[in-house]
Amino acid sequence: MSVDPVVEIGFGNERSNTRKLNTGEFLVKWGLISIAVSYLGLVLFFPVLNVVYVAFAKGIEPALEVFKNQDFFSAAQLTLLVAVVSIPLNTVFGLCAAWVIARNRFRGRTLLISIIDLPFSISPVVAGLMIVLLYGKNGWFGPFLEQINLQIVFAIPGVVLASAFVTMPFVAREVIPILEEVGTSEEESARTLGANDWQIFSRITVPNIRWGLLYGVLLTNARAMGEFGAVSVVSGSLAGKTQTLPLFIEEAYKNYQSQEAFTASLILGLLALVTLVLKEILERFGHTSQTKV
Amino acid sequence: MMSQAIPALELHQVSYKSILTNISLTIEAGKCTAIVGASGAGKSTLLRLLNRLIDQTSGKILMHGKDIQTMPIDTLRSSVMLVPQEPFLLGMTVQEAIAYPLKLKGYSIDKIQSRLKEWTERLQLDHKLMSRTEVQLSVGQKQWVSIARALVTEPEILVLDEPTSALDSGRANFLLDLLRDLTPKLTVIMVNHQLDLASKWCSNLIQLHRGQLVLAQSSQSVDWQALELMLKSSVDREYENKDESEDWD
Repeated sequence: MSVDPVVEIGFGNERSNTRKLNTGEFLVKWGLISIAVSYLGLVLFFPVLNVVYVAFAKGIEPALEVFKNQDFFSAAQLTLLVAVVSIPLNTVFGLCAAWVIARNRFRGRTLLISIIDLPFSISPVVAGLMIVLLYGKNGWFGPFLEQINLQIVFAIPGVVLASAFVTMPFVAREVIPILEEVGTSEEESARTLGANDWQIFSRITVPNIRWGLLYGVLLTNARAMGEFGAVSVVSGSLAGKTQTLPLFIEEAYKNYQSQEAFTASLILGLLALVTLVLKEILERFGHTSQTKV
Repeated sequence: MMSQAIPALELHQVSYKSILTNISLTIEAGKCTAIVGASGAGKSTLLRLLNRLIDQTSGKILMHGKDIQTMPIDTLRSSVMLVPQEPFLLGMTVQEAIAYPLKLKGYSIDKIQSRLKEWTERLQLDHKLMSRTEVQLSVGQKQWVSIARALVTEPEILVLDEPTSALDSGRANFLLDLLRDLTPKLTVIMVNHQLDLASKWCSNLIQLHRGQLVLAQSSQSVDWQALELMLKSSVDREYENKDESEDWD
Protein backbone atom coordinates (compact mmCIF):
# COMPACT_ATOMS: atom_id res chain seq x y z
CA MET A 1 0.00 0.00 0.00
CA SER A 2 1.56 3.33 -1.07
CA VAL A 3 1.01 6.58 0.85
CA ASP A 4 1.15 9.99 -0.86
CA PRO A 5 3.93 12.23 0.44
CA VAL A 6 2.50 15.25 2.26
CA VAL A 7 3.46 18.88 2.25
CA GLU A 8 2.57 21.27 5.05
CA ILE A 9 1.36 24.74 4.25
CA GLY A 10 0.62 27.47 6.74
CA PHE A 11 2.36 29.78 9.16
CA GLY A 12 3.78 28.89 12.57
CA ASN A 13 1.18 27.79 15.04
CA GLU A 14 -1.90 28.84 13.10
CA ARG A 15 -3.34 25.34 13.16
CA SER A 16 -6.52 26.33 11.34
CA ASN A 17 -4.47 27.46 8.32
CA THR A 18 -2.40 24.31 8.22
CA ARG A 19 -3.57 21.62 5.86
CA LYS A 20 -1.73 18.73 4.30
CA LEU A 21 -1.58 18.69 0.49
CA ASN A 22 -1.28 15.41 -1.37
CA THR A 23 1.05 15.09 -4.38
CA GLY A 24 -1.66 15.88 -6.92
CA GLU A 25 -2.70 19.06 -5.15
CA PHE A 26 0.94 20.04 -4.70
CA LEU A 27 1.63 19.66 -8.44
CA VAL A 28 -1.51 21.59 -9.37
CA LYS A 29 -0.60 24.42 -6.98
CA TRP A 30 2.98 24.82 -8.23
CA GLY A 31 1.95 24.20 -11.84
CA LEU A 32 -0.49 27.13 -11.67
CA ILE A 33 2.09 29.35 -9.94
CA SER A 34 4.66 28.48 -12.65
CA ILE A 35 2.22 29.30 -15.46
CA ALA A 36 1.32 32.66 -13.86
CA VAL A 37 4.97 33.61 -13.21
CA SER A 38 6.09 32.53 -16.73
CA TYR A 39 3.27 34.50 -18.32
CA LEU A 40 4.07 37.63 -16.29
CA GLY A 41 7.76 37.22 -17.09
CA LEU A 42 7.23 36.85 -20.84
CA VAL A 43 4.57 39.52 -21.20
CA LEU A 44 5.64 42.08 -18.61
CA PHE A 45 9.04 41.79 -16.94
CA PHE A 46 11.34 40.70 -19.81
CA PRO A 47 10.02 43.26 -22.33
CA VAL A 48 10.49 46.06 -19.78
CA LEU A 49 13.96 44.83 -18.83
CA ASN A 50 14.83 44.55 -22.52
CA VAL A 51 13.84 48.20 -23.11
CA VAL A 52 16.17 49.26 -20.27
CA TYR A 53 18.94 46.98 -21.58
CA VAL A 54 18.77 48.22 -25.20
CA ALA A 55 18.52 51.86 -24.09
CA PHE A 56 21.81 51.55 -22.20
CA ALA A 57 23.46 48.86 -24.39
CA LYS A 58 26.03 51.30 -25.79
CA GLY A 59 26.54 53.11 -22.51
CA ILE A 60 24.94 56.06 -20.76
CA GLU A 61 26.22 58.83 -23.05
CA PRO A 62 24.68 57.52 -26.30
CA ALA A 63 21.44 56.96 -24.37
CA LEU A 64 21.44 60.60 -23.30
CA GLU A 65 21.87 61.76 -26.91
CA VAL A 66 18.08 61.77 -27.26
CA PHE A 67 17.89 64.77 -24.94
CA LYS A 68 19.74 66.81 -27.58
CA ASN A 69 16.96 66.08 -30.06
CA GLN A 70 14.53 69.02 -30.26
CA ASP A 71 11.76 66.77 -31.64
CA PHE A 72 11.98 64.58 -28.53
CA PHE A 73 11.50 67.60 -26.27
CA SER A 74 8.61 68.81 -28.36
CA ALA A 75 6.99 65.34 -28.22
CA ALA A 76 7.47 65.15 -24.45
CA GLN A 77 5.97 68.61 -23.99
CA LEU A 78 2.94 67.75 -26.13
CA THR A 79 2.46 64.46 -24.25
CA LEU A 80 2.36 66.34 -20.94
CA LEU A 81 0.04 68.99 -22.41
CA VAL A 82 -2.36 66.28 -23.60
CA ALA A 83 -2.42 64.77 -20.09
CA VAL A 84 -2.86 68.17 -18.42
CA VAL A 85 -5.88 69.00 -20.61
CA SER A 86 -7.48 65.52 -20.73
CA ILE A 87 -7.40 64.94 -16.96
CA PRO A 88 -9.46 67.95 -15.77
CA LEU A 89 -11.77 67.68 -18.77
CA ASN A 90 -12.60 64.04 -18.17
CA THR A 91 -12.63 64.40 -14.38
CA VAL A 92 -15.35 67.04 -14.56
CA PHE A 93 -17.26 65.14 -17.24
CA GLY A 94 -16.78 61.79 -15.45
CA LEU A 95 -18.06 63.17 -12.14
CA CYS A 96 -21.11 64.78 -13.75
CA ALA A 97 -21.92 61.65 -15.77
CA ALA A 98 -21.39 59.36 -12.77
CA TRP A 99 -23.66 61.49 -10.60
CA VAL A 100 -26.42 61.61 -13.22
CA ILE A 101 -26.25 57.85 -13.82
CA ALA A 102 -25.88 56.71 -10.20
CA ARG A 103 -28.36 59.10 -8.60
CA ASN A 104 -31.16 59.07 -11.16
CA ARG A 105 -33.36 56.54 -12.86
CA PHE A 106 -34.50 57.77 -16.27
CA ARG A 107 -35.33 56.49 -19.72
CA GLY A 108 -32.17 56.10 -21.79
CA ARG A 109 -29.93 55.48 -18.76
CA THR A 110 -28.59 52.21 -20.16
CA LEU A 111 -27.98 53.90 -23.51
CA LEU A 112 -26.01 56.65 -21.76
CA ILE A 113 -23.86 54.06 -19.97
CA SER A 114 -23.20 52.35 -23.32
CA ILE A 115 -22.26 55.66 -24.93
CA ILE A 116 -19.78 56.38 -22.13
CA ASP A 117 -18.28 52.94 -22.74
CA LEU A 118 -17.95 53.56 -26.49
CA PRO A 119 -14.27 54.65 -26.37
CA PHE A 120 -13.50 51.33 -24.62
CA SER A 121 -15.20 49.21 -27.23
CA ILE A 122 -14.31 51.11 -30.38
CA SER A 123 -10.85 50.79 -32.01
CA PRO A 124 -8.73 53.92 -31.36
CA VAL A 125 -7.95 54.12 -35.10
CA VAL A 126 -11.68 54.29 -35.85
CA ALA A 127 -12.02 56.98 -33.15
CA GLY A 128 -9.30 58.97 -34.90
CA LEU A 129 -11.04 58.56 -38.25
CA MET A 130 -14.32 59.78 -36.74
CA ILE A 131 -12.58 62.98 -35.61
CA VAL A 132 -11.06 63.45 -39.07
CA LEU A 133 -14.47 62.92 -40.70
CA LEU A 134 -16.06 65.50 -38.41
CA TYR A 135 -13.40 68.16 -38.05
CA GLY A 136 -11.17 67.57 -41.10
CA LYS A 137 -11.00 69.92 -44.08
CA ASN A 138 -13.69 67.94 -45.92
CA GLY A 139 -15.55 66.94 -42.73
CA TRP A 140 -18.92 68.13 -41.44
CA PHE A 141 -17.54 71.04 -39.46
CA GLY A 142 -14.63 71.62 -41.89
CA PRO A 143 -16.02 74.71 -43.67
CA PHE A 144 -17.08 76.32 -40.38
CA LEU A 145 -13.68 75.69 -38.77
CA GLU A 146 -11.96 77.13 -41.82
CA GLN A 147 -14.14 80.24 -41.53
CA ILE A 148 -13.10 80.84 -37.93
CA ASN A 149 -9.52 79.91 -38.83
CA LEU A 150 -9.28 77.00 -36.39
CA GLN A 151 -7.39 73.89 -37.43
CA ILE A 152 -8.19 70.76 -35.43
CA VAL A 153 -7.00 67.83 -37.58
CA PHE A 154 -3.21 67.63 -38.05
CA ALA A 155 -2.88 70.18 -35.25
CA ILE A 156 -2.58 70.16 -31.45
CA PRO A 157 -6.38 70.56 -30.78
CA GLY A 158 -6.94 67.31 -32.71
CA VAL A 159 -4.34 65.48 -30.63
CA VAL A 160 -5.97 66.72 -27.42
CA LEU A 161 -9.47 65.87 -28.70
CA ALA A 162 -8.45 62.33 -29.66
CA SER A 163 -6.80 61.76 -26.27
CA ALA A 164 -9.80 63.20 -24.43
CA PHE A 165 -12.08 60.85 -26.40
CA VAL A 166 -10.18 57.65 -25.62
CA THR A 167 -9.80 58.55 -21.92
CA MET A 168 -13.42 59.65 -21.44
CA PRO A 169 -14.80 56.58 -19.58
CA PHE A 170 -12.15 56.07 -16.88
CA VAL A 171 -13.34 58.48 -14.16
CA ALA A 172 -17.05 57.83 -14.75
CA ARG A 173 -16.52 54.05 -14.77
CA GLU A 174 -14.59 54.11 -11.48
CA VAL A 175 -16.97 56.47 -9.69
CA ILE A 176 -20.40 55.07 -10.74
CA PRO A 177 -20.19 51.81 -8.71
CA ILE A 178 -18.93 53.66 -5.62
CA LEU A 179 -21.73 56.22 -5.77
CA GLU A 180 -24.26 53.39 -6.18
CA GLU A 181 -22.79 51.47 -3.24
CA VAL A 182 -22.64 54.35 -0.73
CA GLY A 183 -26.21 55.35 -1.53
CA THR A 184 -27.82 58.65 -0.56
CA SER A 185 -28.37 58.25 3.20
CA GLU A 186 -25.32 60.29 4.27
CA GLU A 187 -26.04 63.01 1.72
CA GLU A 188 -29.66 63.20 2.92
CA SER A 189 -28.49 63.35 6.51
CA ALA A 190 -26.37 66.41 5.67
CA ARG A 191 -29.25 67.92 3.72
CA THR A 192 -31.57 67.69 6.73
CA LEU A 193 -28.97 69.63 8.74
CA GLY A 194 -29.15 72.49 6.25
CA ALA A 195 -26.17 71.73 3.97
CA ASN A 196 -26.54 72.97 0.39
CA ASP A 197 -25.61 71.02 -2.74
CA TRP A 198 -22.02 72.25 -2.89
CA GLN A 199 -21.46 71.61 0.84
CA ILE A 200 -22.86 68.08 0.44
CA PHE A 201 -20.66 67.43 -2.61
CA SER A 202 -17.44 68.69 -1.03
CA ARG A 203 -18.03 67.39 2.50
CA ILE A 204 -19.80 64.06 1.89
CA THR A 205 -19.64 62.93 -1.75
CA VAL A 206 -15.99 63.67 -2.58
CA PRO A 207 -14.56 61.98 0.57
CA ASN A 208 -16.68 58.91 -0.20
CA ILE A 209 -15.55 58.59 -3.83
CA ARG A 210 -12.00 59.90 -3.43
CA TRP A 211 -10.17 56.61 -4.05
CA GLY A 212 -12.23 55.69 -7.10
CA LEU A 213 -11.81 59.22 -8.41
CA LEU A 214 -8.05 59.08 -7.87
CA TYR A 215 -7.79 55.73 -9.61
CA GLY A 216 -9.85 57.03 -12.53
CA VAL A 217 -7.62 60.12 -12.83
CA LEU A 218 -4.46 57.99 -12.78
CA LEU A 219 -5.82 55.66 -15.46
CA THR A 220 -6.82 58.69 -17.54
CA ASN A 221 -3.30 60.06 -17.18
CA ALA A 222 -1.65 56.76 -18.13
CA ARG A 223 -3.82 56.29 -21.20
CA ALA A 224 -3.58 59.95 -22.30
CA MET A 225 0.23 59.80 -22.27
CA GLY A 226 0.41 56.40 -23.95
CA GLU A 227 -2.33 56.72 -26.61
CA PHE A 228 -1.11 55.88 -30.11
CA GLY A 229 -3.86 54.80 -32.53
CA ALA A 230 -6.31 57.72 -32.42
CA VAL A 231 -3.55 60.32 -32.06
CA SER A 232 -1.64 58.78 -34.99
CA VAL A 233 -4.63 59.22 -37.34
CA VAL A 234 -5.57 62.73 -36.18
CA SER A 235 -2.12 64.28 -35.78
CA GLY A 236 -0.42 63.29 -39.03
CA SER A 237 2.63 62.67 -36.82
CA LEU A 238 4.35 65.93 -37.74
CA ALA A 239 7.74 65.87 -36.00
CA GLY A 240 8.22 68.79 -33.64
CA LYS A 241 4.60 69.86 -34.09
CA THR A 242 1.94 67.21 -33.50
CA GLN A 243 4.08 64.27 -32.47
CA THR A 244 3.54 62.84 -28.98
CA LEU A 245 6.07 60.52 -27.31
CA PRO A 246 4.47 57.26 -28.57
CA LEU A 247 4.52 58.66 -32.15
CA PHE A 248 8.13 59.86 -31.73
CA ILE A 249 9.14 56.38 -30.53
CA GLU A 250 7.44 54.69 -33.47
CA GLU A 251 9.12 56.99 -36.00
CA ALA A 252 12.54 56.62 -34.42
CA TYR A 253 12.17 52.84 -34.40
CA LYS A 254 11.08 52.77 -38.06
CA ASN A 255 14.09 54.90 -38.98
CA TYR A 256 16.42 52.39 -37.27
CA GLN A 257 17.24 54.89 -34.50
CA SER A 258 16.87 52.13 -31.92
CA GLN A 259 18.87 53.94 -29.26
CA GLU A 260 16.60 57.00 -29.40
CA ALA A 261 13.46 54.87 -29.63
CA PHE A 262 14.31 52.79 -26.57
CA THR A 263 15.51 55.75 -24.49
CA ALA A 264 12.30 57.63 -25.28
CA SER A 265 10.37 54.45 -24.41
CA LEU A 266 12.16 54.35 -21.11
CA ILE A 267 11.19 57.97 -20.41
CA LEU A 268 7.55 57.22 -21.26
CA GLY A 269 7.73 54.10 -19.08
CA LEU A 270 9.17 56.16 -16.23
CA LEU A 271 6.33 58.69 -16.54
CA ALA A 272 3.89 55.79 -16.18
CA LEU A 273 5.90 54.49 -13.25
CA VAL A 274 5.71 57.90 -11.54
CA THR A 275 1.92 57.67 -11.92
CA LEU A 276 1.83 54.21 -10.35
CA VAL A 277 4.16 55.21 -7.50
CA LEU A 278 1.99 58.27 -6.85
CA LYS A 279 -1.08 56.03 -6.68
CA GLU A 280 0.64 53.66 -4.24
CA ILE A 281 1.76 56.55 -2.01
CA LEU A 282 -1.70 58.09 -1.96
CA GLU A 283 -3.34 54.71 -1.26
CA ARG A 284 -0.95 54.04 1.61
CA PHE A 285 -1.46 57.55 2.95
CA GLY A 286 -5.21 57.02 2.78
CA HIS A 287 -4.95 53.62 4.45
CA THR A 288 -2.78 55.04 7.26
CA SER A 289 -5.15 57.91 7.93
CA GLN A 290 -8.09 55.50 7.99
CA THR A 291 -6.26 53.20 10.42
CA LYS A 292 -5.49 56.19 12.65
CA VAL A 293 -9.20 57.06 12.70
CA MET B 1 -59.51 66.08 19.12
CA MET B 2 -56.41 67.01 17.11
CA SER B 3 -58.29 69.18 14.63
CA GLN B 4 -59.55 71.54 17.39
CA ALA B 5 -56.04 72.52 18.57
CA ILE B 6 -53.57 74.89 16.86
CA PRO B 7 -51.99 73.02 13.93
CA ALA B 8 -48.23 73.19 13.37
CA LEU B 9 -48.56 71.21 10.15
CA GLU B 10 -51.54 70.37 7.97
CA LEU B 11 -51.58 67.76 5.23
CA HIS B 12 -54.31 68.00 2.61
CA GLN B 13 -54.86 65.00 0.33
CA VAL B 14 -51.13 64.29 0.19
CA SER B 15 -49.96 61.42 -2.04
CA TYR B 16 -46.49 60.27 -2.93
CA LYS B 17 -46.14 57.89 -5.88
CA SER B 18 -47.82 54.64 -4.84
CA ILE B 19 -46.41 54.81 -1.30
CA LEU B 20 -48.83 57.32 0.29
CA THR B 21 -52.42 57.90 -0.80
CA ASN B 22 -54.57 60.93 0.02
CA ILE B 23 -53.27 61.61 3.52
CA SER B 24 -55.12 64.43 5.28
CA LEU B 25 -54.25 65.21 8.87
CA THR B 26 -53.13 67.93 11.25
CA ILE B 27 -50.17 67.90 13.61
CA GLU B 28 -50.90 69.76 16.82
CA ALA B 29 -48.36 72.43 17.83
CA GLY B 30 -46.45 71.93 21.07
CA LYS B 31 -47.45 68.29 21.41
CA CYS B 32 -45.90 64.92 20.72
CA THR B 33 -47.47 62.97 17.87
CA ALA B 34 -46.58 59.32 17.34
CA ILE B 35 -46.80 57.69 13.92
CA VAL B 36 -47.26 53.94 13.96
CA GLY B 37 -47.74 51.27 11.34
CA ALA B 38 -46.18 48.12 9.97
CA SER B 39 -43.06 48.17 7.81
CA GLY B 40 -43.87 49.51 4.37
CA ALA B 41 -46.82 51.54 5.67
CA GLY B 42 -45.22 54.80 4.48
CA LYS B 43 -44.13 56.26 7.86
CA SER B 44 -40.60 57.28 6.88
CA THR B 45 -41.84 58.60 3.53
CA LEU B 46 -44.32 60.80 5.38
CA LEU B 47 -41.50 62.17 7.57
CA ARG B 48 -39.29 62.84 4.54
CA LEU B 49 -42.10 64.89 2.96
CA LEU B 50 -42.25 67.17 6.00
CA ASN B 51 -38.82 68.73 5.45
CA ARG B 52 -38.88 68.30 1.70
CA LEU B 53 -36.25 65.62 1.26
CA ILE B 54 -38.86 64.49 -1.23
CA ASP B 55 -41.86 66.36 -2.64
CA GLN B 56 -45.40 65.01 -2.67
CA THR B 57 -46.78 64.03 -6.07
CA SER B 58 -50.14 65.62 -5.20
CA GLY B 59 -51.80 67.48 -2.32
CA LYS B 60 -50.57 70.25 -0.05
CA ILE B 61 -48.55 70.49 3.15
CA LEU B 62 -49.00 73.66 5.19
CA MET B 63 -46.85 74.91 8.04
CA HIS B 64 -48.66 77.51 10.14
CA GLY B 65 -51.04 77.87 7.22
CA LYS B 66 -48.28 78.47 4.65
CA ASP B 67 -47.56 76.04 1.80
CA ILE B 68 -44.10 74.55 2.44
CA GLN B 69 -43.47 74.42 -1.32
CA THR B 70 -43.45 78.20 -1.40
CA MET B 71 -41.14 78.60 1.63
CA PRO B 72 -37.36 78.99 1.21
CA ILE B 73 -35.90 75.52 1.78
CA ASP B 74 -33.39 76.82 4.40
CA THR B 75 -36.18 78.37 6.44
CA LEU B 76 -38.23 75.17 6.29
CA ARG B 77 -35.31 72.92 7.26
CA SER B 78 -34.26 75.08 10.19
CA SER B 79 -37.86 74.99 11.46
CA VAL B 80 -38.53 71.32 10.73
CA MET B 81 -35.51 69.24 11.78
CA LEU B 82 -35.56 65.60 10.71
CA VAL B 83 -33.49 62.95 12.50
CA PRO B 84 -33.28 59.96 10.14
CA GLN B 85 -33.32 56.41 11.45
CA GLU B 86 -29.76 55.72 10.32
CA PRO B 87 -27.35 57.97 12.24
CA PHE B 88 -24.27 59.36 10.42
CA LEU B 89 -21.51 61.55 11.79
CA LEU B 90 -20.47 62.47 8.24
CA GLY B 91 -16.77 61.81 8.86
CA MET B 92 -16.63 64.17 11.84
CA THR B 93 -15.89 63.84 15.54
CA VAL B 94 -18.86 63.99 17.93
CA GLN B 95 -18.11 67.63 18.78
CA GLU B 96 -17.73 68.65 15.13
CA ALA B 97 -20.90 66.75 14.18
CA ILE B 98 -23.02 68.48 16.84
CA ALA B 99 -21.61 71.89 15.91
CA TYR B 100 -22.03 71.26 12.14
CA PRO B 101 -25.64 72.47 11.68
CA LEU B 102 -24.85 75.58 13.73
CA LYS B 103 -21.82 76.29 11.51
CA LEU B 104 -24.03 75.88 8.46
CA LYS B 105 -26.36 78.50 9.94
CA GLY B 106 -23.38 80.86 10.24
CA TYR B 107 -23.45 81.13 14.05
CA SER B 108 -20.47 82.75 15.80
CA ILE B 109 -17.95 80.52 17.60
CA ASP B 110 -19.13 81.85 21.00
CA LYS B 111 -22.74 81.03 20.23
CA ILE B 112 -21.80 77.58 18.94
CA GLN B 113 -19.78 76.88 22.08
CA SER B 114 -22.52 78.01 24.44
CA ARG B 115 -25.12 75.92 22.58
CA LEU B 116 -22.79 72.91 22.63
CA LYS B 117 -22.19 73.31 26.36
CA GLU B 118 -25.89 73.66 27.11
CA TRP B 119 -27.02 70.66 25.07
CA THR B 120 -24.19 68.29 25.91
CA GLU B 121 -25.05 68.92 29.57
CA ARG B 122 -28.78 68.49 29.04
CA LEU B 123 -28.22 65.26 27.11
CA GLN B 124 -25.54 64.11 29.55
CA LEU B 125 -23.03 63.55 26.77
CA ASP B 126 -19.76 62.38 28.29
CA HIS B 127 -16.78 64.68 27.59
CA LYS B 128 -14.71 61.64 26.66
CA LEU B 129 -17.07 60.99 23.75
CA MET B 130 -16.63 64.42 22.19
CA SER B 131 -13.40 63.68 20.34
CA ARG B 132 -14.48 60.24 19.10
CA THR B 133 -15.26 59.51 15.47
CA GLU B 134 -18.01 57.40 13.91
CA VAL B 135 -16.07 54.12 14.03
CA GLN B 136 -15.40 54.55 17.75
CA LEU B 137 -19.08 54.78 18.71
CA SER B 138 -21.82 52.19 19.19
CA VAL B 139 -25.02 52.50 17.14
CA GLY B 140 -26.84 53.75 20.26
CA GLN B 141 -24.20 56.42 20.86
CA LYS B 142 -24.40 57.53 17.21
CA GLN B 143 -28.18 57.77 17.51
CA TRP B 144 -27.78 59.88 20.66
CA VAL B 145 -25.33 62.19 18.87
CA SER B 146 -27.66 62.61 15.89
CA ILE B 147 -30.50 63.55 18.28
CA ALA B 148 -28.18 66.01 20.05
CA ARG B 149 -27.21 67.46 16.66
CA ALA B 150 -30.87 68.12 15.92
CA LEU B 151 -31.77 69.51 19.36
CA VAL B 152 -28.82 71.90 19.41
CA THR B 153 -30.41 73.82 16.50
CA GLU B 154 -33.50 74.37 18.68
CA PRO B 155 -36.01 73.72 15.89
CA GLU B 156 -39.69 74.47 16.05
CA ILE B 157 -40.70 70.99 14.92
CA LEU B 158 -38.56 67.92 15.63
CA VAL B 159 -39.22 64.91 13.40
CA LEU B 160 -37.72 61.67 14.68
CA ASP B 161 -37.61 58.37 12.79
CA GLU B 162 -37.35 55.52 15.31
CA PRO B 163 -35.34 57.62 17.81
CA THR B 164 -35.19 54.91 20.47
CA SER B 165 -34.48 51.88 18.25
CA ALA B 166 -30.82 51.56 19.31
CA LEU B 167 -31.13 53.05 22.82
CA ASP B 168 -31.35 51.08 26.05
CA SER B 169 -34.52 51.59 28.05
CA GLY B 170 -32.83 54.03 30.47
CA ARG B 171 -31.63 56.31 27.67
CA ALA B 172 -34.95 55.96 25.81
CA ASN B 173 -36.91 57.07 28.89
CA PHE B 174 -34.43 59.90 29.52
CA LEU B 175 -34.89 61.15 25.94
CA LEU B 176 -38.66 60.97 26.05
CA ASP B 177 -38.71 62.76 29.43
CA LEU B 178 -36.57 65.50 27.94
CA LEU B 179 -38.81 65.82 24.89
CA ARG B 180 -41.85 66.08 27.14
CA ASP B 181 -40.12 68.91 29.04
CA LEU B 182 -39.37 70.68 25.76
CA THR B 183 -42.99 70.68 24.63
CA PRO B 184 -45.06 72.94 24.39
CA LYS B 185 -42.26 75.07 22.88
CA LEU B 186 -41.30 72.17 20.65
CA THR B 187 -43.57 70.09 18.42
CA VAL B 188 -42.44 66.48 18.25
CA ILE B 189 -43.39 63.97 15.56
CA MET B 190 -41.95 60.51 15.95
CA VAL B 191 -42.19 57.16 14.30
CA ASN B 192 -41.97 54.56 17.02
CA HIS B 193 -42.42 50.83 16.91
CA GLN B 194 -42.50 50.64 20.70
CA LEU B 195 -46.18 51.27 21.39
CA ASP B 196 -45.69 51.38 25.15
CA LEU B 197 -43.37 54.38 24.73
CA ALA B 198 -45.67 56.07 22.22
CA SER B 199 -48.70 55.61 24.49
CA LYS B 200 -46.84 56.93 27.53
CA TRP B 201 -45.24 60.04 26.03
CA CYS B 202 -47.23 61.12 22.99
CA SER B 203 -50.53 62.87 23.24
CA ASN B 204 -51.62 62.17 19.68
CA LEU B 205 -51.47 59.11 17.49
CA ILE B 206 -51.43 58.58 13.74
CA GLN B 207 -51.65 55.12 12.26
CA LEU B 208 -50.78 54.32 8.66
CA HIS B 209 -51.48 51.11 6.83
CA ARG B 210 -50.23 50.44 3.32
CA GLY B 211 -49.87 54.15 2.60
CA GLN B 212 -53.29 55.13 3.92
CA LEU B 213 -54.31 56.95 7.06
CA VAL B 214 -56.39 54.64 9.26
CA LEU B 215 -56.30 56.47 12.59
CA ALA B 216 -55.59 60.02 13.81
CA GLN B 217 -56.72 60.77 17.33
CA SER B 218 -55.76 61.67 20.87
CA SER B 219 -53.74 58.98 22.68
CA GLN B 220 -56.21 58.96 25.56
CA SER B 221 -58.98 57.68 23.33
CA VAL B 222 -56.91 54.96 21.69
CA ASP B 223 -57.46 51.34 22.63
CA TRP B 224 -53.75 50.53 22.83
CA GLN B 225 -54.21 46.79 23.32
CA ALA B 226 -56.40 46.51 20.24
CA LEU B 227 -53.92 48.65 18.30
CA GLU B 228 -51.03 46.43 19.33
CA LEU B 229 -52.90 43.34 18.19
CA MET B 230 -53.83 45.01 14.91
CA LEU B 231 -50.23 46.06 14.24
CA LYS B 232 -48.94 42.61 15.13
CA SER B 233 -51.32 40.95 12.72
CA SER B 234 -50.48 43.43 9.95
CA VAL B 235 -46.77 42.84 10.57
CA ASP B 236 -47.39 39.11 10.26
CA ARG B 237 -49.34 39.64 7.05
CA GLU B 238 -46.56 41.86 5.66
CA TYR B 239 -44.09 39.14 6.50
CA GLU B 240 -46.17 36.53 4.71
CA ASN B 241 -46.67 38.77 1.67
CA LYS B 242 -43.22 40.32 1.65
CA ASP B 243 -42.42 38.99 -1.83
CA GLU B 244 -45.39 40.92 -3.20
CA SER B 245 -44.51 44.13 -1.37
CA GLU B 246 -42.38 46.56 -3.38
CA ASP B 247 -42.78 49.93 -1.75
CA TRP B 248 -40.58 49.97 1.30
CA ASP B 249 -40.22 53.30 2.95
